[in-house]
Amino acid sequence: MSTNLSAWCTGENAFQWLSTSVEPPAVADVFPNSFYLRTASGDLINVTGKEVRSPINVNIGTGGPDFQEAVKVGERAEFGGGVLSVGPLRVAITEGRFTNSLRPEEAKKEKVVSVKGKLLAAACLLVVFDLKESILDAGGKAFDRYRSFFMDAFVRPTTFDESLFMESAYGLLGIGSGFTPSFDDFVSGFLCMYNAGNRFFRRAPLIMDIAEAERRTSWASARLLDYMQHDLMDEDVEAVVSSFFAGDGDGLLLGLEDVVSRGHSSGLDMSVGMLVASSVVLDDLDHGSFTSNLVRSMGF
Amino acid sequence: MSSPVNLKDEVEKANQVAVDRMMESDPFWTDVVPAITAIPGMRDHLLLHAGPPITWERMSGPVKGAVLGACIYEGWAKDDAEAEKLIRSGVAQFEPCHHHDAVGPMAGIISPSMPVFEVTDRKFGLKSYSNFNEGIGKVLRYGAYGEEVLKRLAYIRDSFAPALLAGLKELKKEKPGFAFKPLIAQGLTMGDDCHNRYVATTSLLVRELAQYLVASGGDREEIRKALVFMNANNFTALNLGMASAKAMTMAAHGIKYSTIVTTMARNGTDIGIRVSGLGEEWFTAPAPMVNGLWFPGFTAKDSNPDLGDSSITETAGFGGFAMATAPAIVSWVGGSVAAAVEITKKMYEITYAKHRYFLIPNLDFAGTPTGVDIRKVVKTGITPNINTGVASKEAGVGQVGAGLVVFPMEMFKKALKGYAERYAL
Repeated sequence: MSTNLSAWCTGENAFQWLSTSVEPPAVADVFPNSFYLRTASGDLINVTGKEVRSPINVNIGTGGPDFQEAVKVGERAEFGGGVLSVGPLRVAITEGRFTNSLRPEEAKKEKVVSVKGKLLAAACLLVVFDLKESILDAGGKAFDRYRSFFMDAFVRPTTFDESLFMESAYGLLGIGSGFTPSFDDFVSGFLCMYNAGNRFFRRAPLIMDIAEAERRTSWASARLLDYMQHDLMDEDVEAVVSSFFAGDGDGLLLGLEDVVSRGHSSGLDMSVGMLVASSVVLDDLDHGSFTSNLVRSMGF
Repeated sequence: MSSPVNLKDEVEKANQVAVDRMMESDPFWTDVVPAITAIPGMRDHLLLHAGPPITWERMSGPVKGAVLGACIYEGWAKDDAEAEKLIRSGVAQFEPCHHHDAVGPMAGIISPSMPVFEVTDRKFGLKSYSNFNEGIGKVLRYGAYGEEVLKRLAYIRDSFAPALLAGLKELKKEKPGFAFKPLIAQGLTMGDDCHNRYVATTSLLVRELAQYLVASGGDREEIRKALVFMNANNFTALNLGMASAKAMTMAAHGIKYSTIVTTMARNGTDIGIRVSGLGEEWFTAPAPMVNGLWFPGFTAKDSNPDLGDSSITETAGFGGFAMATAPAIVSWVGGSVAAAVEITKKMYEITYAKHRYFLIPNLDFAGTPTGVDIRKVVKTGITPNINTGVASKEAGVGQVGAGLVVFPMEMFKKALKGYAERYAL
């Protein structure tokens, strides 16, 4: 018996991938209220009951079935006539598209700099949460490795060095707990904010080689990281990035609260990445060395 | 500059202290006094109201009704037109009950000559106050201010309060006051949630008090009338329970670094919270609507947004948070028994502790969820669920129903942001 559902929003990228996939995508991972489809080209489409929109999401709203009972890993999905069929699910994809609308290149330097006063508050916001199994968990198994990375990438150098960052970061991909490992989430958040900064400075983005990343971590985690580094982000993350470049410190803090609450530690790890990258961008703007203080204030 | 490890430790330590103090507070009913002689900062022409600060212009219908009624009750005006003129002239002023160590259900209006209950926390030496409960339906706290309302208020002031005080004085010959924590604890094991269901607790109160009323040697008819008045009103114990909860939460307030909520209150326009480690600052959002059961002749369209200081009970770890222990309450506020149990279970996810003394028999005597932690609210996306009475949106009408309400996330997010700014590393 089929279950008819309706997507109230579909990400622009998700729609394109569904429409152009030469082979039917397959179910790759299933969670209680989301499942991932993997396309022939290796892209990830997130069919989700959650409310947050993203270019890669198909949002079917709350109150849907338990996906862990409804669909199985390996099952093929068919898309035609505006309907996505997976196992017993029939999802009508007719409603609006979501795409990111960030414009960091239009930001004003003096506004961006004004956010600096909020970064230590943002650090405070992050460290008062339950840090267990996050990148900030000083009792965690990988904490010493994280600390070395932070010291090498952000504390010891007088200015941020992209190649040094990348060199160290590859070695830690796949490290940490959770479906998307903690360090992967940190890098996703960092590159998302940092590359928005590169757009602001009109520089080339800093891009991690995704094939190499996939060798070191899971396909899903590598893909999600890849989207973030290429400016494809969900609306909560986008709100944080856009608040930063709008010079809206209050919006930055409130936005981080939305991101930090997701998953067990994913949101926290991602938020740490975004916060550290914000500081790197600000240091670049005012030739300061604030990042070193910020990173130390979070326990590294 | 704190190190993060220190800050995290400080938060946990502070929250433990705050919640310990909330649970160990020991409120006793110790006096009945005119508001102006006892409530700190009370003055002539000052009216205290429920919830966060609000101006006359932004007040909802029921609060305006209660304010007009209080002006007439005080003799400041002979009718509502004269009362409104007085208010607009700025002679009558408004401040939250919570700014004066007091609480009031629904509109929460406390005027200078009103008799109030004084509650003394014998553990920490704090005093808190609440007005008297008038019953349900057409009553001042729901915004009604007709003749019957004013007549009842006069009875409370001139006869009922003196009779209760005489009884309390007799009781105090034997005890330091009327211990309220054990009364609430007992009520919770007898099917009350001690917010919207006080049937057992009121019975226990009247049972204990009756002998002292008789022993006081007061006029037999006045004592009989007082007993009849209390017997007719299952909410008699509500205001004392609220003042007790206020004492408990005052004990938990002002702990540096603590993220525990010590005030949750609504004024019918806004809802606000205050946090132990954040001083007197309010974090507000628009007051939500209540999902209710309606009295005959009324519908949801007649209802005002959520109103009252009575959510001090949930703040202190009972009321809606203890709904699992009060299955019969669903006939008053709606929902199902299973949903009531689920609400209590959900509240464990956003609270810091299980209460040591307030226990829920049908959850294997688990302590009630106690100490809302703003971090947990933001992390889980779960906000406090409470039960409440519902006032008509029109001044002068009164109560139109009762129901369940979910507090908005916005004020918890604002509070956490305020916390981060206050304690920035």
